[in-house]
Amino acid sequence: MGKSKWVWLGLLMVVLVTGVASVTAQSSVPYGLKAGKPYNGTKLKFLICCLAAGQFAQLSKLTGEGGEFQQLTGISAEWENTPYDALQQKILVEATTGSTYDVVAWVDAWGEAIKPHLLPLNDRIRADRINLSDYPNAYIRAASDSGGNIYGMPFRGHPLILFYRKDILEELKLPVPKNWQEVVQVATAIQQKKPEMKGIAMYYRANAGQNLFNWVSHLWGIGGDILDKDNRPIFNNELGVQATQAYIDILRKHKVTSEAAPTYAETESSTEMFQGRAAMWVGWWWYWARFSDPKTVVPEVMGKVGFAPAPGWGNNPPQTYALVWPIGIFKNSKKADAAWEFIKYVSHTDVQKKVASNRSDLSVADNTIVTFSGMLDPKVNEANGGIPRVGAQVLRTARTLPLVRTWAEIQSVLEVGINEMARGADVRQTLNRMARDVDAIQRRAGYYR
Amino acid sequence: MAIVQKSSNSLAEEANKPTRNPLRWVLLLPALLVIAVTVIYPLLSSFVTSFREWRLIYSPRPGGFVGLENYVRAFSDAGFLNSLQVSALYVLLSVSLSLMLGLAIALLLSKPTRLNIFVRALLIFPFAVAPILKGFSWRFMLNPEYGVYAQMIGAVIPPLKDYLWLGNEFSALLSIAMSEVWGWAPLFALMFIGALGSIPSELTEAARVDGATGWQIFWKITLPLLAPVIYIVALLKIISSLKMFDQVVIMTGGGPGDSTQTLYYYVYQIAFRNLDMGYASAVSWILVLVMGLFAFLYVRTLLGGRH
Repeated sequence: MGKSKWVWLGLLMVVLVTGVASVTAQSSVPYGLKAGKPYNGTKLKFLICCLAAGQFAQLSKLTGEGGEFQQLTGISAEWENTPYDALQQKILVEATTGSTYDVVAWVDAWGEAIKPHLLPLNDRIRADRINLSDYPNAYIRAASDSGGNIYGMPFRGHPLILFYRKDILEELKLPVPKNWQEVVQVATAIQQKKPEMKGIAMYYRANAGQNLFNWVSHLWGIGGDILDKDNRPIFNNELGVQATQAYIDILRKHKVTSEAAPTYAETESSTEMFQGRAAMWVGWWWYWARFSDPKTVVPEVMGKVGFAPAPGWGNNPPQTYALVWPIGIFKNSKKADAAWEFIKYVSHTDVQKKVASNRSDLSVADNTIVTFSGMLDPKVNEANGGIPRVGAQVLRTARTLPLVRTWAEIQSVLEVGINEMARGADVRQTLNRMARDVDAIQRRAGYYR
Repeated sequence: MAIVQKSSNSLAEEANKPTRNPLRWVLLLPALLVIAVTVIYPLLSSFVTSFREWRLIYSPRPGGFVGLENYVRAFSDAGFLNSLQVSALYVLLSVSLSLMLGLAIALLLSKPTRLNIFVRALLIFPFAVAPILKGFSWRFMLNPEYGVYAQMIGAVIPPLKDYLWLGNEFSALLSIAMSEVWGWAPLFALMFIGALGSIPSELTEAARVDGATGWQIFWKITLPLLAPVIYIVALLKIISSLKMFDQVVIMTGGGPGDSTQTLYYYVYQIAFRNLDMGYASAVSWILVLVMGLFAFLYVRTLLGGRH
């Protein structure tokens, strides 16, 4: 073998080794992202709000210029921080007439008006072998239509959690309540022994549908529903009356919450808990970070707040509202493939885990995570006091709100009616009137044709 | 002297003559353009929309014309009729309380003592507070658990201790009105102080010499002479009250129930929550007509007074 042959063979080996190494490196791109940066240099525009939320703040940094996502894919994303109150309108206008944005995140209840303007993701999900069973059913359901098309991946989501004062329950030897009936018993016992404290902080004020959260837990828990399969109101049937009466009785009959609860929304009622005036409160799991923040809670409450799944009804598994922000791609986007890479990244369990377990900067620390594998991850739980595991428990049986285009109007009717009942209006009569109003909304919208 | 007087009069007449210089239109053009884009076009556009079916959740573009349907719907819509009533009651409360309190403050501070002059300077501050901040502050101050107003009222009037100011239909509306009166009454007081200063002191002195009491002087002389100012101020406050929105959003969210849903808030609900643009435009135009009536009276009174 001549010398030149050895040189050629050597070169061939170098090429082979380099090639193999390169292929190996490319196939090892994490988070299921495409190898070889096929969308290098693409700039995506993402229509979103609320960058003050810790999870969004962290993810926007990871996907912005110079972030991990750009290093892996060459794609960068610009997060358009729209005020929450203007977001729904902006999405609708953009979805139908604009082409400024590629990616959008929306609140579940707005979805029905938006989905027709988004790309179905089923084929992409299938091609990338994304395990949908790792996401709560309620989240996937909220991002889908009745035909089984999935328009968004869960991106940010919240289960409802029962926060309680561990020290009070231990001192009075009371169990952590599992259902609303036990909540009333425990709250009554607390108020008897500690008259200066309210058993539970509730919120019945009409404010962006917040007073529906615990109402639907009652309603779904007992087996009732808001609308039937034809989208007609059924919340005023016997089950609905019973569930609503129980919800109102917490305030008016059992008096285990502040008399001011009809004027309280989520903010005021959680303040009751922060300031040590209430022993229990039901709210979103991200409040855990606030209960652990010495700047938010008074010293006698700090470190004494425990958490458990939001209460259900009797022995039935709790069926609570799970709020989710799905993330999807506008049909008008010319960068759909790059947008899909972005969606895969931000909804990937490893990215979500990384964000949820990062408590290096408390100002952006956030326990929010959307995958079951993330919620059960030891590191994530260690960083967040174990609340993700409890959230997973709640989300197994959680549900989404009715997926109808008219939800905003229906919600207005429901929240005002609930507030009236909290102030003493007759439950059955009010529910019947609310049902008539909802029926008129559905009829006008053409649901019964 | 007479020549100087004559020439100054002719100069004034000359200045008042309408000029035919075409430059005036060029100079006016920027302002007219701004008004056309920000006022005239949106008004005309919403007027046309008010005769169309347009629900943003179904279509980004307005649908077909439906004639007067949106207007007819308004007058059979319990929510709209309720918001009309709420707005009327709110206007009555906020206008009357602002006027009465403003007049009382003006009478108290009308003498130009050093203390009064200092207090007058402070009067402008409540008016300078942004409505949304007023809403947050008043909501906080009326909280039955830790609100400073709620505690003060409870201390002075024990039966009102722990009263839910924002939990009762009338007191919630009254609370919103008070948050507004808190800002406007001092401003009115300043206007009234100015008007009181223009009342010739000979009139009150003569009445006093004739044996009139302070109360009689107020009713027979001061109040009638203040009437034109009160009228203008009232019109201004009516227009402002019809626009009530910020404190409703912050303090009550339209509740309890729908008892503080003012017209503005209702339009906001229909347009930006329910996204029913056609109907919202119709309701807006009803509001525009009501406000236009008061605005017309206001402008006519102002210009009438000047000429």
